[in-house]
Amino acid sequence: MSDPVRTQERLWLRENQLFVLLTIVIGVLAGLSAVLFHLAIEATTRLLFGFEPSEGRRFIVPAVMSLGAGVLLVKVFPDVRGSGIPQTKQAYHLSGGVISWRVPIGKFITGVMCVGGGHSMGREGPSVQIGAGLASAIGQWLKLSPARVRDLVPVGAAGALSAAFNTPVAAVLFALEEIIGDMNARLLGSAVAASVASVIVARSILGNEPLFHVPPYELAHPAELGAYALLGVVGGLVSVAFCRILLRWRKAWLRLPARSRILQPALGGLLIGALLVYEPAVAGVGYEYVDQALNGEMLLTSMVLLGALKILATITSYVSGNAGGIFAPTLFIGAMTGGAVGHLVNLYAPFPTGDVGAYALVGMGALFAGIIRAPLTSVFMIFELTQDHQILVPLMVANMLSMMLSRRLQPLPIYEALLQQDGVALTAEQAREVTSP
Amino acid sequence: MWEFTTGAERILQLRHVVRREAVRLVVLSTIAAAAFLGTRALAARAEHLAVEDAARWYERGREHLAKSNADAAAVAFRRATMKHRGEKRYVLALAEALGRSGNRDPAARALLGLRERSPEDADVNLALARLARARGDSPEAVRYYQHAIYAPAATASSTRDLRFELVEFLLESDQRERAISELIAASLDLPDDPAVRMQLAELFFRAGSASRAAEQYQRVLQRDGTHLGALEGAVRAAYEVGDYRAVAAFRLPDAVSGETADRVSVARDVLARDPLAARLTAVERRRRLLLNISYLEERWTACRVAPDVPAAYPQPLIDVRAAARRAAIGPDTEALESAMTILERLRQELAQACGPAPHADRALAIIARTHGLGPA
Repeated sequence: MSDPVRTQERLWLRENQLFVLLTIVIGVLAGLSAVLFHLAIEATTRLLFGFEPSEGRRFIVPAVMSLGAGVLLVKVFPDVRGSGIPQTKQAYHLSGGVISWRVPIGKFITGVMCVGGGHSMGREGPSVQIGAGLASAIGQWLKLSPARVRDLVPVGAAGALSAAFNTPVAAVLFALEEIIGDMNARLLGSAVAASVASVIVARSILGNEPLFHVPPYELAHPAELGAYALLGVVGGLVSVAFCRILLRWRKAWLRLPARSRILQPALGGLLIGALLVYEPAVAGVGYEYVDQALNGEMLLTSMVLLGALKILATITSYVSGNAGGIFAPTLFIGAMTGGAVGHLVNLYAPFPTGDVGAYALVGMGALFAGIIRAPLTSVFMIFELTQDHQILVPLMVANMLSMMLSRRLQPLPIYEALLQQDGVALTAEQAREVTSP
Repeated sequence: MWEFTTGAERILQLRHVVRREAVRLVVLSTIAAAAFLGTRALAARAEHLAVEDAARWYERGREHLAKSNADAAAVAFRRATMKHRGEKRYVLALAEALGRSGNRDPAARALLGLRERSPEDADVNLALARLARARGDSPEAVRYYQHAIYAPAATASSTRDLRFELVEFLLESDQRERAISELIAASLDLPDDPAVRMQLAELFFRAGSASRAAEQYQRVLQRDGTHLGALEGAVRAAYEVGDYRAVAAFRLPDAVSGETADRVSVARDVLARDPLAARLTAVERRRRLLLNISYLEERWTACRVAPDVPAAYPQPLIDVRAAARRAAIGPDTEALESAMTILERLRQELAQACGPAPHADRALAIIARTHGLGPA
C-alpha cells in the first residue's frame, strides 16, 4: 500500500494541474464570450441602423433600445448597469468572487442592446464582467473551494479583455492592476494562461488584424518630449474633468425617485438620439474615428468637437444607467485630445515634430492612465497595438504626468468612486467615507 | 467541503474531488469546443455581411470620387477598409482619395501599412510612386516605380506600362538620360505591336533621342507602309537628326499634316540649295550660290515695305553677286563660305525685319548651321 502522505500530495498536485487546465478552458470560454459579444453588437447595430441610417432612425433607436434595456436592468438583471468593472472588483474584493450566473447573461443582453443601440459606450468593460462572471459561475458549478472561485474572477476578466482588445499582455496587467490591485499577485500564471488561450481563440476566429491600423512613429526631436509632457498635463486635466462631470451628473441622477430608474436609460437614449442626429460619429465604440485620428486624417476643429461631444455622450449614456463601458470612450476621447494637442504642437513648436497620429496614440494612453488609473496596462496596451518601442518613452512621460495630475485633483479612481456612490467601499478608508453623513 | 477527519477519509474525498473536477473539465472542454465551432460559424456569417457592406462603401466612395468629392470618398473608403480589413483594393482607393483631398501623408501611411505586408506588390508600389510624384519627391518616386516594375508578379505589358509611366515622370523632371535608359530597357522586350512601338518612338523623341525614335518609326513603317502617324513621326525624327536626304525621300500621301509637308519641303530645299555639300562640281556650287542670292534679293524686294529695310540692295549682297557672276566664287571653298556667311547675316536681318520666312529661308538657316556659318 502506498504512503498516504505521498498519495495526498500527488492528489493535490493533480488538483493544481486541473486548475491550470481549467484556467485555460476559462480563457477559451471568456475569449469566445468576448468575440460573441462583439459579433452580437455589430449585428445589432447593422440590424437597427442599416447601411446609412436616416435622422429619424438615429434619434429613435437609442431610446427604444434603452426602454427595453431599462426594464431588464431593473426587473431581471439589476447588477449589470454601467461598465461592469466596478461590479467585478466588488465581487472579487467583497463577495469572495461569487458572481451569479445571471450577471454574464444579463450583461450580454443589455450590453448588446445599449452599445448596439447607439449608446456612446464600450464593449470592453462589459466583456470583462461577462468573462469574470462566466469564470465565477464555472468555479461554483465545479464546486471549487471559495479561494479558487475568487481566483477565477481575474482569470476570466483577463481572458475576456485579451480577446476584446487583442492585447494579451495588457489584459493580464489589467487584471492584476485594476481587478486585484496587486502587481505581485500569485495569479499571474493563471491570468497569463487564460489570456493567451483567449487571444488564440479570438485570433483564430476574427483574424490577426490589429484593432487599429497604426503607422510607425518616431521621436522627431528630443525637445518633443516636452510636447508629450504637455499632452500628459492636458490629458490629466481632461481626465479629471471627465471623471468629475460623470460623478456629479450620476449623483444627480441617483437622487431621482427610485421608481424612475426603469425609465432613466430611455431618457438617456433620447438625449443620445438627439446627439446622434447632430453628430453620428459619437455612436457606439467609435473605433473607426479613432483609426482616422491615429492616421492623422482629422482636422483640429473636428478633433476638438468630436472629443467634447464624446465626453457629453458617454457621460449621458453612463449616468442614465445603460449597460456599457467607458474603456472605449476613454480611448476615443484620448485620441481626439492627443490629436488636437498634436495639431497645436505641429503649428507652434519651434522644433521638428512627429505626426498628429503619434500624439493621438499617446493621448489614448494618457487618458487611460488618467481616467482608469492603470498606467502599466495603458503603456503595454499601446505598445501591443503599435508593436513600436519608439513610442514607449513619450507614452510613459505623458501617462505618468496625466496620472499624477489626475490623482492629485481627483484622489479616488473612477471605478472606486462609482462604487462609493453606490454605497460600496473596497477599503476601510472608503468604508468610513461611505458611512459618514 | 475541505474539512477532513481522518487521513484515509481525506484521501478518499480528495480523490473524489479530483475525479469530479476532471469529469466536469472534460464536459466544459466539450462545451468550449462546441462554442468555438458555433462562434466561428457566426463570425464567418458576420464577416460575409461585413464584406458585403465594405463593397457597398467602396462603390459609394467610387461614386464620390467620380464626382470629384474626395473628402466624402475618403470617408466611404475608410469605412470599407474598416469593414474588410486588409483588402488591398480598398486601401489603395482610400490612399487615392486621401491624396486627392490633399492628405498626402495619411495616404502614404495607409499605403506603407499595406507595403509592410506585401513589399513587392506592384500596385502598392505604383500608388506610392504616384504619391511621391505628386509630392515632387523624385528619388522616392523613382524608387517605388522601380519596385513596381521589378515586382515578381508583374506581366510584360504591365511592366511596359509602368516603365512608360516612369519615363513620363523622368521627362517631366528633366531626367532625360535616365529616361532614355528606361526606354532602351523597354525596347528590348517589345511586342510587334505598332501602337506600342509608336508610344516608344514618341517617348524616345521627347527624351531627345530622335535617332532611336526614327528607328522605331521605321519598324512600324516596315510592317505597315501606310501608317500615317509613323510616316509623320519618321519625317519629324529624321528632320531632327538632320538626315535631310531621308526626309526628302519620303513620298507623302495627301492626308499628311502641313507641318510634315513643310519639313519635307525644307529638307528638299536644303538638298537643293547647299553650295557647300560634298561631291558637287564648281559650276553646281556657283549655281546654288546664285540661287540663294536671287532668293535673298527677292526677299529684300518683298521686304521693302518694312521701315528698317532700305530700297537699295545692301552693298555686300551686290558684291557677292558680282563675284559669283565673275565665277570668282565656286571652286574656292573659303570664298564660298564667306559668301554664304554674308548671305546668312542678311537672311537673319530680313527675318527680323519681315517676320516669318518661307521654306527657303529655313533651308538657308539649316545650311548655315550645318556648316557653322553666320555672324559670330
